[in-house]
This record gives sequence, structure tokens and C-alpha cells, in this order.
Amino acid sequence: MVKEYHPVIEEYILDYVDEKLTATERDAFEEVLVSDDDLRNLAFSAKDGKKLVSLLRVLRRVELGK
Amino acid sequence: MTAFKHTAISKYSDEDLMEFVQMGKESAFTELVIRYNDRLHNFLYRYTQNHQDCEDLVQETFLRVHKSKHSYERIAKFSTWMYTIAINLAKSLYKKKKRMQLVSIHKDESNPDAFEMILEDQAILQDEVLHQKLSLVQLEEALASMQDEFRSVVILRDVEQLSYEEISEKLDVPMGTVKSRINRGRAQISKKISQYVDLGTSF
Repeated sequence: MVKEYHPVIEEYILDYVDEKLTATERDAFEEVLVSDDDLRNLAFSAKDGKKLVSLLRVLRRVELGK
Repeated sequence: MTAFKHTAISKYSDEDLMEFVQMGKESAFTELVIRYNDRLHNFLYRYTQNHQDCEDLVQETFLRVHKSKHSYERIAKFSTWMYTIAINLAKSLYKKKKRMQLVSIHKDESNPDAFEMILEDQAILQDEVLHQKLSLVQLEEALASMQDEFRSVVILRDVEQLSYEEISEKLDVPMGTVKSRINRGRAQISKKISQYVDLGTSF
């Protein structure tokens, strides 16, 4: 069962992953992450997932360039 | 897990077959060899550019798969696990050839009858390229195995680099749903693949 979050929290996760939060917003969000295991797991995995898909973009370009 | 039926062998998934191999069913292993022999050869040839090396590596890979059968866990896709073994063997071969390069015997210029003994094989590609290629295969596989609703938003956002608004319009899905699917899609791909791809060195 996938846990649903309020749209504001979803927005926070995206901005956290995209590193668009201000220092104050990030501190506040990280406070929330400390107390919510599922949310922390989702945010951290999403962050890694974004890096992986960006890596795919780069690797595809490398392949196309061959 | 259902009981092994030899007559249904071609219908089993790779992962099912691997579990039967773990139970000692040798014909299940033969079926995996049949399925992957050519694919593995083609996969390795792109890096080694040498058919003899490929043959040796394919055989060695299957031997390792058999020898390490009990270390396979169903959480990983069989093909990804096997390609990881293959690529590690190719890396070892590359290192071995690199060492051989250090002991090449060069022509003695003062002796007109001397000839150069070339021991190096520069056709094999660099270690980093092997890792890159493996990463690409695994990432493509991980993406392909995702549900379409998550895969499409992740590709549109992180590969095509569309804005959330553009994705929402293109897929005719509310913006909030797009955002929530991107978060979950990214998390899914990370769970599927982070054990294989080293983010620390690939970036």
C-alpha cells in the first residue's frame, strides 16, 4: 500500500530532491524527515532515483555519440 | 514455487529457472544457457571486440553462475545478476591484459633479424566504459520494469526535462498527480537499481 501525502508535502519532496528549498525550508523539512521513516525513505530514494535517471540521460547521449 | 515440469521448461521465467537450478535441476541450467549464450556473446563482444575472448568469457560466466547459484536471490533480475558476473570477468580480463602489456618484448633495433612480439591487446575497451555500459543496461532494464504511469512521468521529467506543467498537459493528468508519481517513480528506480550502480563514482 503506497502511503499518500498532502500535495504540499509532495511539493516539498520535489523541491528537496531538486535542491530548490531555502536553507530555512530545508532545515524544517529535514526535521520532519527525522520523525517520519516512510517519508524519509521516499525522499532519499527519490533523490537517488533522480541521480540515476540523470545518469541514464548522460549514458544515452554517450551511446548516441558513438 | 510450483513443481518442476520438464515439458514446460520454455515457459518458465529466468528467475524460476534459477530457483530450479538451486534445487539441483540441471536441465533448468541448460535452458538458461540456451537462452543467454548468444545474447551474452553479443553483449561481451561490444567490449572485447574479440570472438575468442568472448567465447572464454561466456563459458566462464556460465561456470560462475552455476558455481554461485546459491548466492542468487530472487530480489534481483536473473539477467542483471548474470551480466554483472560477465562484466566483472571482462574487467578482470582487461586488467590481466593490461599487466601483460607491461611485459611486452620489444624489437632490438640493433639486430636486423629481430621482430617485435606484441603481447598487448588494445582492442578491449577501458574499465570505465565497461562500467558505463553495464550501468546503461541496468538502468534501461529498471525503467522498463516500472509501471507505465510512473515510468512515463520520470522519463518526461528527468530524461526529456519537461516542466511539471508540460507533463501534466501531455499526459492529461492533474499536476498534483504528476508530482506525486515523479516522487514515487524516482524512488522505485532507486530501489531497483542502486545496489548495482555506484552513484559515488558514476557521477
